[in-house]
Amino acid sequence: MAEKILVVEDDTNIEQLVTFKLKNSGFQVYIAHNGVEALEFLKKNTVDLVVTDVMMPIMGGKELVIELKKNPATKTIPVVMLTSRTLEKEIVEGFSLGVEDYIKKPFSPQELIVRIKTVLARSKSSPAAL
Amino acid sequence: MEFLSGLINFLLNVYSEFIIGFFIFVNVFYFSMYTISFGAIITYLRRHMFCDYRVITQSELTPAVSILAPGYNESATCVESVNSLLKLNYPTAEVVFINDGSKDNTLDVVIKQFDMVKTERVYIQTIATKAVRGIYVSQNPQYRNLIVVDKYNGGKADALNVGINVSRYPLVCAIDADSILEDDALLKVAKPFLDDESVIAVGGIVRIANGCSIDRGKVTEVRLSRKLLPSFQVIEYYRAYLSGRMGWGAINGLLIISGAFGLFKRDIVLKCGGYKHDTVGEDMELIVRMHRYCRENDIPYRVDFVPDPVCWTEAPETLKILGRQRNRWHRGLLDTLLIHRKMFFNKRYGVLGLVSVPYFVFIELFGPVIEAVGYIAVGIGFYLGIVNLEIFTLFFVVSVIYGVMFSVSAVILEELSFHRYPRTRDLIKLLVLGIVENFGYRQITVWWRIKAFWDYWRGVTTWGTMTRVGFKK
Amino acid sequence: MIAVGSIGLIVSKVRSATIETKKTKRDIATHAALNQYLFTEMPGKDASGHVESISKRLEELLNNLSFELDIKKNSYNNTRRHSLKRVMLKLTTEVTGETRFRLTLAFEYFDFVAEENKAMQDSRWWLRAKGCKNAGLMRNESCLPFLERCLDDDNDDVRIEAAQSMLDIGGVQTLSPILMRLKDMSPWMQVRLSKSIFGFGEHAVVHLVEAMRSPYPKVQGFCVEILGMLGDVKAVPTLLEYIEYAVPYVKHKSLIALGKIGDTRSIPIIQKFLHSPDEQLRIDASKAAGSLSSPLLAYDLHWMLVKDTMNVKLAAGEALARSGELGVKSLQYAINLEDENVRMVALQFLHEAGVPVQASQPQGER
Repeated sequence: MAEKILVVEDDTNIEQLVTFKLKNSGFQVYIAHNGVEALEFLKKNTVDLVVTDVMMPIMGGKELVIELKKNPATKTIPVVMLTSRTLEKEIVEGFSLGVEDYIKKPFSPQELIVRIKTVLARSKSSPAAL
Repeated sequence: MEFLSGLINFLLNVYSEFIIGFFIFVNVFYFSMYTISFGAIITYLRRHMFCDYRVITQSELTPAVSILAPGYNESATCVESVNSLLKLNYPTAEVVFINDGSKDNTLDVVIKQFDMVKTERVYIQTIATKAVRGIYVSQNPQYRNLIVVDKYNGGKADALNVGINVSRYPLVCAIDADSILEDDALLKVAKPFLDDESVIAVGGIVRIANGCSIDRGKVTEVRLSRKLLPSFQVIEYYRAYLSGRMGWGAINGLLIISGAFGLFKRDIVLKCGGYKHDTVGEDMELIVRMHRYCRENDIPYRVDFVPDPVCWTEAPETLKILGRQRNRWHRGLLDTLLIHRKMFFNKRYGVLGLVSVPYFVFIELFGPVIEAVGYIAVGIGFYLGIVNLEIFTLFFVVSVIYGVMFSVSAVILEELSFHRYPRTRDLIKLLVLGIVENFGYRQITVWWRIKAFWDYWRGVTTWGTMTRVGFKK
Repeated sequence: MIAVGSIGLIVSKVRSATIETKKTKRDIATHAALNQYLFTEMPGKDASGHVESISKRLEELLNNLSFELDIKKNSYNNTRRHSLKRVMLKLTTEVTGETRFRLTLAFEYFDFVAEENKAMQDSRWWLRAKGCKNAGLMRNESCLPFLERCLDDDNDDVRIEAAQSMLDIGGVQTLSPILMRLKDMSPWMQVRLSKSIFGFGEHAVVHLVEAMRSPYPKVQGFCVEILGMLGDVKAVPTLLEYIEYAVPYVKHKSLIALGKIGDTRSIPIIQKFLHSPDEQLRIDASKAAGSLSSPLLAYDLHWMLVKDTMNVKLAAGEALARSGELGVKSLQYAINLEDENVRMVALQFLHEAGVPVQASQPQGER
């Protein structure tokens, strides 16, 4: 069965790009435009991975991750962050929140797929870990 | 009796001629200001086609900013406002929350929420202030950019001065506790400092948040308020900011940066001596003093203005509170102009002394007086039956048309540049209100501002500097 | 007149809303077609001349794309063409790698590059600046001569965009020629260029060192600052050589940079500046000493903590806290001195360094 991925992104351009590439690679893709929408979606559905932007209106990626990690039902979902804020301290802060992987914009779509696959493989091999 | 009515007749004639001259002068002036603003906004928009604010957030070269947030008895809102300040989009910023001797438990709430501990931090007290009781930093690395200063009560200006003393970064940002900043606000007002190193202060547009939806300290949907009073103020703010301050910024004669949101070079503020704590118009007074300091020391400088809407504020919704606010503004204006009366028509201060200050004296300060005397004169004239009804009607119509024209053109300017109100309905409403405000609202504001003269005079003679305590609420 | 203006405004508002939605719709359709081109997998390597087969395949895909979107090469006023350009330009800032390469190819195929080259010679500055910017995003080398001409433009924005785009297209080799050509650098330009330069990493060091020869202090200062941030020891000899003769502005930046690089060869120079008559230079030297964390400077710093002005005291105290055991000892000694300012500074930095202080005296009660 195809793994389900939730893409949280406010920019239609990137959303389209990421969705296309993910679908092409055989994933099942869902879309949310901000953190609040994503949380709403996750109340009813489960996914195997979340890809999120950092800067979004209403609720950004960092808050989303904090919310996800609070809830035991969503705590185990690995999160990959897409961000244009590339200062070292930002990245360190992201990882300290419990983000699985950090991808800097501009990104290579091919690399994104490879990284997502690695993260998924890792989370499957050790389901007990975080 | 004959003599008296003759005298009145003569005075009315002189006054009507004076008023017509004044009227022409004011409108020509407004018109040129509007043209300058228009050009400046077009240039701004063009420049910002290329400005990718992401680059500012990614660079280590961006100057760091200290955000000063003074708070007095704000235990209910302080946590949320500090939180939203910490989340602002900027590479290096510290938030300095100054507890101005609150009588409630503001300090305890903040200390508990952010896990703060007292430190032995030393700072240089360049500006004399009320004593500081303690400086706190957070033990939680998530809040490492937060500093809380506890001090004895001394008013907003004093609290800001303490903040300026304690802050470590080259730029300081003064904000009101109740203003809502957009995520990119700091980036946008920091940009002029990057473009031109001689910039010493930058102000941003303050918009009215009444009617907008606000979620977690952010404006999510922009709408016009259903109520009449805030909507009138929307137009007033447009006129003041877009067609006024934008133009003043362009000719480097900007005298006011709203206390709700402004960014300054710290070293210049320190050299000027910080905020003056015994005036009601401390925000305007500081800018005038910074201008003066740079002119008197021959430092090349600029005071700039960013027309991007960056800061939202809750406008008063009742006549009583609005009246009090306008009264305070006008007293602040009067006080500042009196303190710096030396600049009035002084060649040494360039455009400032020859244009800005006289404009503020004649049009902003005494404009309401001249208008009010006009209304009274018309009243007397009618009573005595010596006013020519046709001429009066003509004059009235022309003046209303001009008022409408400037309101509408300010709305047009906003719509052409930033069009923040997405709904067509709101635009139509604004245009209609631009006409309606000339009947009633305009006259009320005139009355408030005239009353301010009286209050100022009474305040100075009977209470002296004690008045300050009265305003500090 | 007012009425006409207001009505016009309302009409334009209603219209612009519909135009906007149409535009977004079209862009989404364009994007879908573009994705086909960008992400169609290439045939794997075959033994004979796979390069040629790939470029052929890409050309085929581009033909498909232009057919699908119905774009004719010479008709410039085509809304679909505009939409494609918009979408592609937006994408260039989001993607890298192979996808980025395909975009570059598409820009050339659709003749967008020539458009920008023309725009760079326009008489209106904002069109020139936009041309420079887009040229950089398109990554086409044929733009370079036009960009180079724009480096001497009167308008600040045009110069910045041109320099940035040249760096993006020409790579690190163009760095020192660009810097040598510039007379002044606004902080905005520095911010913009620094981002690309950090992308080059250590390869940029040689070129920055070369650009130090520029006679303009702003350019020199910029090179010094970036060298400090890159932290490469290769820059140290040059920095040491220049610091003696540089203008004060560059001296300040050099001291900070030397501290950041943290090479022991700079200790004597920093020591010398610790005794400079200029207060700001002493502060910068103290900061540099702090980053170096060398016990060799602790003696000088201690002397400054005790005798110097308050500003320098603070800098020296901070540096001592980071100068190892000797520095901490000096601070511990200082908290028992008579001068209250010295005591307070020492106490603060001991506190921040996490060194326990005997609470023998009631401190900070003021």
